[in-house]
Amino acid sequence: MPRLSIPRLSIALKFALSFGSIFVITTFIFEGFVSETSEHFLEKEIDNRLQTKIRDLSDVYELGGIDLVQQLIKRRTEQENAETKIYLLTDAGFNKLSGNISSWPEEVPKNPGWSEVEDDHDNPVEYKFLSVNLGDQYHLLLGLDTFKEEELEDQVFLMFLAALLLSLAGGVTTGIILHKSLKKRLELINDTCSEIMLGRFSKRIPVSKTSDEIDTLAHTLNGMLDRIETLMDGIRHVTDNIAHDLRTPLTRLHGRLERLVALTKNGENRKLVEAGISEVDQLLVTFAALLSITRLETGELETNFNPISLSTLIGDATDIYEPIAEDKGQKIVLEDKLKGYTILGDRDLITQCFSNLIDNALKYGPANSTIIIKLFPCETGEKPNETNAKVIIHDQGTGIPKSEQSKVLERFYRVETSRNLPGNGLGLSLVAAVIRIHNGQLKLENTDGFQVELTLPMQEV
Amino acid sequence: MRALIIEDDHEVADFVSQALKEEGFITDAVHDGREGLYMAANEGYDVIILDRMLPGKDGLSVLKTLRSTDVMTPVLVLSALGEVRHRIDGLRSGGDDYMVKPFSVAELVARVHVLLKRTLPAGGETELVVGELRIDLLSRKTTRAGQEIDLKPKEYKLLEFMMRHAGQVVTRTILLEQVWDYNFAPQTNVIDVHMSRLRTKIDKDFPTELIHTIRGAGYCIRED
Repeated sequence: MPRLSIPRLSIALKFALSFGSIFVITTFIFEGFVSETSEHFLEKEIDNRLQTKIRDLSDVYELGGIDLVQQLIKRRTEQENAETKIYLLTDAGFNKLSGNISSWPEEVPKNPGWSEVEDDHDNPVEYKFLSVNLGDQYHLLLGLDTFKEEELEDQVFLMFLAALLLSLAGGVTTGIILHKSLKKRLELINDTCSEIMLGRFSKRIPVSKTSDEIDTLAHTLNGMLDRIETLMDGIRHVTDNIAHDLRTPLTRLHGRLERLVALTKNGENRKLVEAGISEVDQLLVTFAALLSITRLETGELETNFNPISLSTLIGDATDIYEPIAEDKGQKIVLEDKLKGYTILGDRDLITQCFSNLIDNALKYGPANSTIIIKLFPCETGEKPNETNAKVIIHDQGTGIPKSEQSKVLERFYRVETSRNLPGNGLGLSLVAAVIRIHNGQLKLENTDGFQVELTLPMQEV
Repeated sequence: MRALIIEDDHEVADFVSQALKEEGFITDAVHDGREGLYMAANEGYDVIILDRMLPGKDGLSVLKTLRSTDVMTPVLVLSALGEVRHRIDGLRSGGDDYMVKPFSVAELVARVHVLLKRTLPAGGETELVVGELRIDLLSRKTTRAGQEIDLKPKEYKLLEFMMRHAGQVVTRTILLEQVWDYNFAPQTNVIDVHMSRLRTKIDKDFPTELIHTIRGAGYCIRED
């Protein structure tokens, strides 16, 4: 079934994206605010200039009369930049007395006050006018070109656009850098935790010099790991001590019993001692298996990982068990699609795993039944072209009740119905421990019998 | 044959020493690493049994020192730390074989014999013979009294190993290691089943048995 794929964003990427958006939005708001203010400011500036000039001319009229005003207007209109300014002095009937335009513009109302001439498309020039009455007989009109102001506004806008683009580029770059460094640091934490889950308890999360929140987290996690390692060391020391302290006396015991066998001629007594030796041997096998499992679980067992072929190992295991199957009328059918593939693993441990599983299948499968072993590659489903190796060992026995399936992986647990069969209850525990340190998965299932499914990460195709 | 036992536990050293004496060895036993190193370097031994954990100088450094001074006497390393990596460490440091404590003395004796045989120069033989049983190493043809015997590849390998060590006791552990490359004991005793197959083919139709079971130790192929 096709599944809708929702792109998953990492925390760092989300962080960078929101960071960038806030950056852009803030810049926009700021730009709006500044351009609004500057527009307002420029308008006010023009108004001030018009007012000042009108006041000046009004004062001149009060002091020197209309002639002086006319002289002043004449002088002003002859000055440079005069084309951006409009002066018009009229009589009461709005007839021109002096100024640089011919008549009172139509758009400008005749009563005193402010007015604006809107832009028309052919002529980009825009004016702001202020008119007053000088006494009762005269009207004075002053106009200023506001085009400069508009131009300035445009420039301000352009500059802001440039600033926005720059800040956007800056924001994105910062975002990417932040994203990368955050991602890298989180990945480091993740990698370290994965290694520890594989039993490498001495690994620690690297701490940078910045002492930020991630470093605080790393410190806390490292502290926790120190504690776990101390506890694990405790367990390890106990097992090491047991191992060492028990093995020497057991060696002596074994040696003495062997001497005793050599010295005993009597058939009955000799048999008793021989039985004693084989009990000791059985005890040692259990002891060694228990020790191996503990060491695998505490990560103390330093493994010897190499590229290995599961096909070869399962082939060898099948080969060694073939005569045992034959004696019980059983048949082992091997479907191997893993030829040419390798996984990274510990040969001895994986071999022991297969041996335990085939041993179980033969032991719990009924006489004259078939044991099917399948090996095949399968997609991990996590990354494209990444495959796992799968091994399925199926027998036609009664299987393990679902409620007990997780318990059989515990040490010494034995299913009620199998207690009369030989075994120490450690076989599947060892398999589980070995698969765990190989970063694999173990699945037990009752399907027309019983099957064990192993999934191991493939090294390469 | 002279054997040197370097082992700090006196009782274990005595057992080993006694068992080897019964096999005709002349043995010396020392109880710390320094003394062991001195003896091993200065006396001409045929085999050395070396404990890994020793007072004075630890077993592996004794072994490394010996090898670096060109003492190539075969060494069987004993250890209480019977784990994969220790076995590998032991073999990498120049050990020829490795045994985990507690071990059976019979197993140790069998291993010493295999070890001594292995270190003999290869004779370039093309045929192995035990009584009327012979295998042609080139054509891989097996015959007993001129009668051809059809063997599966692993059966052939098993028989070849037994015949190379004819007259010696080979234990189940040795066979698992040498024939199947299994460094652990499977839950079911697989070797006995394989051996009974091989016996059916080799001995069943003939008046005398060549493959013998040695109680408490293993198997031996010999003509008697």
